[in-house]
Amino acid sequence: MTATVGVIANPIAGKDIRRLVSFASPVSDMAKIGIIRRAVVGAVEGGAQRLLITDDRRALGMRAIDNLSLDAEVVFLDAPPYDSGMNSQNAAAAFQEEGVGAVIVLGGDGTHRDVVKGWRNAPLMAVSTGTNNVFPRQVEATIAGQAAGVVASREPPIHEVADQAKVIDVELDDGEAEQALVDLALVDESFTGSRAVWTGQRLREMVAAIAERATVGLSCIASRVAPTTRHQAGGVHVTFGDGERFRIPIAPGLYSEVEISSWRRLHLNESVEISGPGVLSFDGERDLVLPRGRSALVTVSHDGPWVIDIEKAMSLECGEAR
Amino acid sequence: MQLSDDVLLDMHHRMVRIRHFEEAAGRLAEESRLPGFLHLYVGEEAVAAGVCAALTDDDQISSTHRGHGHLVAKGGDFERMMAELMGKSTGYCKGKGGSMHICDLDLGMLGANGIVGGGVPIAVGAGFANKYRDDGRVSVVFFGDGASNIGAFHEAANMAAALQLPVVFVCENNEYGEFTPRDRTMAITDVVDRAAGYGMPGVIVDGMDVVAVHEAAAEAVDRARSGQGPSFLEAKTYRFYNHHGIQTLGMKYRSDEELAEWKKRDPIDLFEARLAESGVLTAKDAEAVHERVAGEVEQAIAFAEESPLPEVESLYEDVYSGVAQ
Amino acid sequence: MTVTEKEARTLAYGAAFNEGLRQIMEEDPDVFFAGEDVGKAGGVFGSFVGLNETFGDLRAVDTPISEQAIVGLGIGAAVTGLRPVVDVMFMDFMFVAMDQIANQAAKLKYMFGGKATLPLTITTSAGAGLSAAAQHSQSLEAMLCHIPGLKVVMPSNPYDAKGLLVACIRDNNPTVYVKNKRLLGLKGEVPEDLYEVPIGVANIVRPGSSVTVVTYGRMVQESLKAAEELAGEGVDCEVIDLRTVQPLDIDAVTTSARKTGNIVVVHEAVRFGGLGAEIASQVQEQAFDYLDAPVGRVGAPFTPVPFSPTLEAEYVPNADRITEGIRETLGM
Repeated sequence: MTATVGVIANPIAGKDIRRLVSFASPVSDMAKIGIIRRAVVGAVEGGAQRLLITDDRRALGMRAIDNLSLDAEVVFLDAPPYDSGMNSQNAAAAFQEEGVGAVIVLGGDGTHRDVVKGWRNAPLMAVSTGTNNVFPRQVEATIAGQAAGVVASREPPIHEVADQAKVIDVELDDGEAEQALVDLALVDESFTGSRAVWTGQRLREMVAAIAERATVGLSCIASRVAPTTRHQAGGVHVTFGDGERFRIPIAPGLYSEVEISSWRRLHLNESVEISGPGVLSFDGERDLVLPRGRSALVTVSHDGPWVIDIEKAMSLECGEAR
Repeated sequence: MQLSDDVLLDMHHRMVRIRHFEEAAGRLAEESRLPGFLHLYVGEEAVAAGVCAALTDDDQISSTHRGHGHLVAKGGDFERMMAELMGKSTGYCKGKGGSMHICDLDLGMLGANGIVGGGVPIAVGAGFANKYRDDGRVSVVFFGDGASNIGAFHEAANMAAALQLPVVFVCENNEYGEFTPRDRTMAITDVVDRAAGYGMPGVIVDGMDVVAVHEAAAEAVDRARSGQGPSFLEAKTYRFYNHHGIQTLGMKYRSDEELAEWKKRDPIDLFEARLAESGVLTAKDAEAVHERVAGEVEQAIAFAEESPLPEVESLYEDVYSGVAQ
Repeated sequence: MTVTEKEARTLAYGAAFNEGLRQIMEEDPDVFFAGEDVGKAGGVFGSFVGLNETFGDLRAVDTPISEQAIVGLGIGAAVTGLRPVVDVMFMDFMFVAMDQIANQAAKLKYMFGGKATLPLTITTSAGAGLSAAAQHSQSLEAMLCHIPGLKVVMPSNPYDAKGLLVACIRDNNPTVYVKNKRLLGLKGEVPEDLYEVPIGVANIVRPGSSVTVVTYGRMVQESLKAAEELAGEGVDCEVIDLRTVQPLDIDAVTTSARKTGNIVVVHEAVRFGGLGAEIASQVQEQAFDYLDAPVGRVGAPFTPVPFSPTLEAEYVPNADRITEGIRETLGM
């Protein structure tokens, strides 16, 4: 089978309101094109024979491979006329059908979430290009691309080169299903608006699958009471209100006070009901209005995407330590 | 940001006013009842409404050739607007400006502008005056993706940042500079990528979501008002009618499918659905707003049509201040 | 008498400009100026020296090299109630800012149905003769005079340099104030008080009876020299300094033409399409029957301004060329 690597690049990552309300750095298209270019070069170096690349109105993908002489077939996926998370979601679903061996995702928590909505168990090479990301790490795209190429071409058993991630499943009372990868929060708002959440004062309740102390954003709140790594089973449920106060970095360069009234650890597959009114924030982005009287069942499971470990993948290429 | 019902209803009202005024103007143009060019704002209402709702009456805006929406959003009077579009003496500009120069300085609306990018330096000048007087006012520049390619924009953006002026740059990126798609005229997609080059923060907002626009605008305006200098918002939006606002012009520079996709995200429909869902405005009440505004537009058309044309002698007036010609 | 003592004081043209600006800034807190190098550096010609120290960065503003934005800054500030002076370092650079000058500043009031008031002054420097070549030497007043909505003044001496500047700044219209670079060091009597030289009023700087020489800017000085020379030959020149070229004081010109019967227009700008053509046309419309000869015109040839001093000397009109032009008109 042709070793195929998929590339999903979120064109709008790194440009949201956090550049105005906090000190998040912008990530320009030129920077993203450079990241895609390096990832693609690395993927072909790692053995990819075919590249499936999402495209968008920005033609980031096309511009990235412009003037590159790649020893691989390159196929672009059609773009919708405007930016939407559906782009990444649809691409991921298409990649699954096409038998893609590894998916390089260039984006933030939100982009990775969209990918997982399209292909839950995708073999992911998660590369952070967004703002304050928890799920994808800051890695150099060249080597991330190469690792993806190695996985796609050598087809090792996935558990040998990747760790399965947790997923927060959100089952809405109208039957709709949603996912988050890091945290799900109920925010005291009426609109999704500019999406980001940059004040702790409006938080009502949250469930975190990842609560690591070294992160910036909502998930870091839960780490103050119940640190939980991405590899650890289970999650944390936190409710806000009168109680213990913490100051946490809610966005880059921006600290906010939160007051936690109660918290408890969640076992794997244990559900919590969250009720409206409010807006549900997925991985730090307001995305769904939960009106009064509506509710969502929230469960942390451990059957999400496979996140490629670059060290393990590259050991296939370079051999074990001598 | 939790918005009060008043603010939400106000933004809805501004958007509905723009929509009805513009669609009426488009019909009048098609019936050859308006002379000259017409560039309609339909589809982009959330941008003007979301931004202007974050401003006080004393704040200024400068506008573009597609300027009716900005004037309506700043509180423009339908009768004087419609009269101006018809070239009547009762119009905002006494029939001397028309669609492309419509303005109301009393509302801080420093004019639509027939020159792409021409209004950008002017708003920066207003921003300078605000800083000079230290009066807490903010000036907002509306401009399109096309204008971001013109020198005046770059000069003014750099100057606003260099002098740390209370200015908010609002780029209405509707993907087309006249009839040419953005990707044929720019090697970048997000105009906001340029903001960093001037040393100001820049963000992208969904220009079809009035709340998203308003949240970002409110932050940018606060920033300017508190002396932190200019910011840049890029609103991704789309014009529903052709460049000149007349469907029958027969321009085929974009596909029906693309237009249909964007129309699914009609900013007024989206907002009304949310307002109904949250109980702020029922569908029935929204309908009543539309009916009332439509009635006001009809009244404005009647006023404009009954208004006298300018006296020929007025041709010679107002070339200079304080001079009888 | 103290007034006489004051009037006896002499000041250079550039210093007179500086004093006028300083005094009106002291008088009116809404006046500020902005431009390239005009703040801390005091202007490339020293015209703004010392003002930044007195008035600070907000009223003596250093801008980026951005002519469009500089003029736009003035327009926006003027339309929102201030009284800006913006400097375009060389008149040649006005082409860079022409949209803001011609399409915006000149027309806002009219397009807005009279609503806008633009008390904006654009100062600039024109004139050849310094080997500054084709992009730093032009006299482009004709281009500006063609645009309804602008006023254009071109002072010829230190007294007018101060008085016209004050008049421009106090005027509620966009005005263009054109200094001549080679006049900056010219000394003359300048009252210490704040005074205005009215816009649109010509000045008969030398009364005469044989021929009317209509001129402005630096050519006034050259025309006076020519008049002195011709006086020895029995030709009595009346020299009119227009001072303002838009609006044009055509009555002063036609009145004089009716008296002398001969008229020669002199300007440093190229002859073709210059102010001379407009003045000649208006004079023949209004005083044809009084003229003994066709209206003469002295101006620069239809070439860019050259660099080499030899070529530039051939290019720029001077007293000799003016004398020659007057002789030609008078059939001498």
